[in-house]
Amino acid sequence: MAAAIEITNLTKQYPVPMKREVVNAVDNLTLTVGEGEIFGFLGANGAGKTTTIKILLGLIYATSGDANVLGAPAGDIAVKHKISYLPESPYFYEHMTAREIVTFYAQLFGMHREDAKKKADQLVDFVGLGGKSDVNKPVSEFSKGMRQRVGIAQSLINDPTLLFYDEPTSGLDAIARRDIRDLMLELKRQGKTMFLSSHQLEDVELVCHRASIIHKGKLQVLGTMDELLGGERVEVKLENTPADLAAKLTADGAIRTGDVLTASVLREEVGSVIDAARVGKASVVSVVPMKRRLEDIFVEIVGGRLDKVSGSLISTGDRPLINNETSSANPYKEIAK
Amino acid sequence: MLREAFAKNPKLTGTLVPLVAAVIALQAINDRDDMRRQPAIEPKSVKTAATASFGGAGLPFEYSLAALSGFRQVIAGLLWVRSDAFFHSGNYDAILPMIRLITWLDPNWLDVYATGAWHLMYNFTDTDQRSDRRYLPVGLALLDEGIANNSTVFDVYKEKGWNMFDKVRDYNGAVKAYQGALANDPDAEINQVSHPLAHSFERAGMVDESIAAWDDAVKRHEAWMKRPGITDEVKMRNAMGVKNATKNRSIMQIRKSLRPANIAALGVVDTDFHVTVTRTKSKVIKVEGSWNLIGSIKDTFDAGVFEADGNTIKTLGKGLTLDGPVNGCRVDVRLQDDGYKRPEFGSFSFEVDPKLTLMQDIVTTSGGRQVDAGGAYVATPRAGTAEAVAESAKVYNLAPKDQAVVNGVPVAQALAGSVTISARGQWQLVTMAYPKAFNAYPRYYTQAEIPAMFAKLRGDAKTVADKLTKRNIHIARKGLYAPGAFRREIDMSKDPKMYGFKNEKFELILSVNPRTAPDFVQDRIGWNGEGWNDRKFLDDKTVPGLRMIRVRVPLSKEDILGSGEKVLFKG
Amino acid sequence: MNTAMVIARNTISEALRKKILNAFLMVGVVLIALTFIFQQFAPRQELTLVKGMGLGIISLAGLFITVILCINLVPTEVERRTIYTILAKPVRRYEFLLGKFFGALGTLGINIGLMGLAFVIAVAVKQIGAENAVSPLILFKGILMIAMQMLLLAALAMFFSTFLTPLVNFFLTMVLFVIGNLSSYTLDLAKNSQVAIVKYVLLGVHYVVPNFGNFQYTNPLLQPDVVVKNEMLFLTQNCAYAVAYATALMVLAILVFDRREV
Repeated sequence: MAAAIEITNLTKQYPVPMKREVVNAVDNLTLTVGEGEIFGFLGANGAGKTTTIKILLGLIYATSGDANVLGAPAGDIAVKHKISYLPESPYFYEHMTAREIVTFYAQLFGMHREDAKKKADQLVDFVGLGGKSDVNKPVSEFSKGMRQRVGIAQSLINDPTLLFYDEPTSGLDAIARRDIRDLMLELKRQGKTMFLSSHQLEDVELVCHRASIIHKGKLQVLGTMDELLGGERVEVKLENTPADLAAKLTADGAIRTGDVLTASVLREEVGSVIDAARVGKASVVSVVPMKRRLEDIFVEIVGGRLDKVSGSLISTGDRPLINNETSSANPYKEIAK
Repeated sequence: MLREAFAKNPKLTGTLVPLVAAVIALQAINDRDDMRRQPAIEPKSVKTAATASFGGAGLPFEYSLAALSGFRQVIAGLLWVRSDAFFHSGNYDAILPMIRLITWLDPNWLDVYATGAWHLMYNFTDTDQRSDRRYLPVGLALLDEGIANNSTVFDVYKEKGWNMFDKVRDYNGAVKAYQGALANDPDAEINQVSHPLAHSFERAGMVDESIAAWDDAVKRHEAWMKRPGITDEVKMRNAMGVKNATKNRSIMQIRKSLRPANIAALGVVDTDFHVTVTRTKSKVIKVEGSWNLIGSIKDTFDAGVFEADGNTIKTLGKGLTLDGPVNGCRVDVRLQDDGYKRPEFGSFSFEVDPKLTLMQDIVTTSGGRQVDAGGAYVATPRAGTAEAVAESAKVYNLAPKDQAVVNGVPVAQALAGSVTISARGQWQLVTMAYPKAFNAYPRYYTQAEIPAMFAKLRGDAKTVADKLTKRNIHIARKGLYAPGAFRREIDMSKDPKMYGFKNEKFELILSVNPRTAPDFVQDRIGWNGEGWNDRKFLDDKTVPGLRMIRVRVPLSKEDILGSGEKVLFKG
Repeated sequence: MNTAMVIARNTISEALRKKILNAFLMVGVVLIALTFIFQQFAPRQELTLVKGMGLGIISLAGLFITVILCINLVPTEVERRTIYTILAKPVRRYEFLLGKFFGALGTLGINIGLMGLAFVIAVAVKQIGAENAVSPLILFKGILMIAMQMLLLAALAMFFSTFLTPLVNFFLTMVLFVIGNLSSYTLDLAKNSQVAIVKYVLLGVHYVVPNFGNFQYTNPLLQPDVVVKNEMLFLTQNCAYAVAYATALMVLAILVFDRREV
């Protein structure tokens, strides 16, 4: 299966003014995004996310390494017919209405003016800006949410194969965020490929097939949601636990609350614990996999548990670090189905 | 970044080569075009001048900025208003840098060149209204600049021509200027260019060329009148021009034919030029002298019979019929640094050499008078020019001193027989008593007519009383001849800035140029002085083909600046 | 190039809404109309004054409109990040740049055209009943020269805008405009210079700095007697110079902008 995005050893350096130094905004980044994948690209402010996206769009140029988009080098004009970009806090020409803006962008795809107008009408209605009160308003009078909708409208003009969304829900209220999340899910359902950069981690958890986190330009972690969030432990709650089983579980850290014993067991031991409970005629109250939140990983990575020499995450032992070489090939296809 | 760009876009980079070549080539062509030669920065001569009106040197910054931003003509207009104010208040020095600035700002404003040159060549004067001739080359340089900037219109050529003719009296220079106008401007105003050209040729002694110029003027006028769409006013102007040019051509042809013949018949006049130059006090010289200024007597020149149009000659006359002492020819007096020659400046700058001394004046000759024994004269208390009717009969005023010499009697007594009236005397009395109509031909009585007319006069007491006695006409017993005289005291002490006398040696040149003499004098002595001579002072070397009366007196600084009276020259 | 035209149209539409540019335009038109008032202060023929001031006002207003418009076209797009959504579309960088440039030219054309129209009307009114009235259309030659001058200036400002900040660009462009107007002076200095290196430096300045002084065509329009030899050739040469130089500057601008990071 062809990759939608292929980044190999990508590096972008900027000179530090007044010093003979360079800073690596992107440092030897390698990753691949497959067609049909919704890929989350996460990192703190200044980590190198926007820089990477700009390289992929041909807005800036890499210092070294390769970046290909839909099989062509980043910035290829023919490819731009199939991609779209929603920047963080998009700016438009203030004097134009939403319709005029989308018409303008549509014409940049080579559409004739009349066709572009029709497309604009369609998209403006689609994003909910076609109402009487909004249709003739210039963008200068739009709220942030409305501007974001215009941004989304312009990103859908060419029915793109690949979308680059940078902080699409940033600064929006809960309802607007939900609308955009629903849109992303719809796009996912349509089989679009999306390169999503966002600080809304719950959205990423919900929408993305895979995600990565970069920090100080370096890739820290990459994997499917399950790989990143999926717990190796399961929480098992038992009532009327037989004594031997209770003693074993308590020794492993189980907590008794009344008659209920709550234990955290390794995923592969769940079966044997359930069997032992059944044999001892205990009641199984609940069996719940223990998932981590993406936020936890994010904070871990960005928050300071880093090796001071290599800058990489220090392994926690029971949860091996996941990197490109160990992740399964194309697991997302199966998950997306 | 640029190197990388060139490497990644070789084709596009390649297009720069022909584009840059085209830009350089077009600019090189532009640089050779006169249109673009307007200097962008004010000339040095402005920067070094103290322009009182601006409190310093040069154009103020805001004016310069306005000039650069396309308001040059407007600024020029404002400055011209200021300079006009200076002119009316007599502050001519302030006008000079203004003229420089205005012509720099607006090189196509023709009026400024004309007026500026007029200021320079006419309005810088000493206390006695003598022009400061150091500014003549400066004025000419300004006009040359005006011509260079406006070479396709006749106006500035014409100005230069006139200034050469009237002020500098370089008639060859005037010819060149007017010819330039005709060559470069097909719409040159003929009355202002072609006519003065013909006059300039005449003054330069080029008679045939003058006649040809009048011919050309007539043709140009006629061609103008045939142009489609011209107004009645222009047509009328050109019709007048045709008349004038035709008349002038006729007169030139007459003179060309008759003058040599008259000189051959009458002989050469010995001018017997005498002059005494005296320093009366420091920087004051007195020039006085006398000479035989002989010319054609008023209204007695027989040009001939004209056609009905009054302009074209029908029958050629006999030319000069009566000659005698006349007034009017001027003696040029010029005091300058020894060896001074009028410079030609390559570019206009209003700075003159402060060490140069140059004075020029003209002294009129008058008072020449003559009466034969038995001829008529006017007895007057003071000598002066006789009235026209007497003058046309060669009857001169004689003052009491002369009257005592000729010992004459009143005409009535003479007619009664107390004195013999000569044949010439009779002719004079008849001419004054019975003057012919102005358009009569011939304008004078022939000798054959006189006896009968004189007899009539004898019996016509009323006419004698009214026309002769009333005019104090007398008949001389003895003849008298007195040459014309000139006298002028030239005071250079009142203008030390103009007459600094910084150098050590000077020269005083007195001259009479026949080409500048009035027509009635030239009718006797010719255009180039063919009809006169002077044993001491004839100069036919300084200007080939021209016979001038010329006296050169070398002077030292002490001669001029010394105190007390001293005769510097007597000859 | 269709894309460039789309961007150009959009640029014109945006520029015509800019208050500062409209202010210069309004001031220019009003001053031209007011030239009638100034006539009493000058001894010049009134018509000469109206013509001279009119052309001067168009030139000055055109200068400020051109510079202020062109120094900001590209940097504003980068600063406001509107350029991201444009370049993310199938728009080549040179199409974007040329679109901005043609948009600037269109805006200038409209501004200078409006001022030119006001000027021609003013002259026509002034000439009512006058002797020797000339067709006001002749004045369009002067306006054409001003337009060519502004074309070249616009290209210069656009070129600098691809790598300089607007403030630096403003001063640099203005300084070069002044030096360019002194082109005959630099040539005279070069010709009269005795030192070889100074001579060549001045010649270099003369040929490298755009010769804005070439386009001063006021005098022949003000003085009807001044006849320019080969006027068509003169005007054509000027136009060719402006177009060639502006093209070279835009090629350089494209090359620079192609590698510029936005």
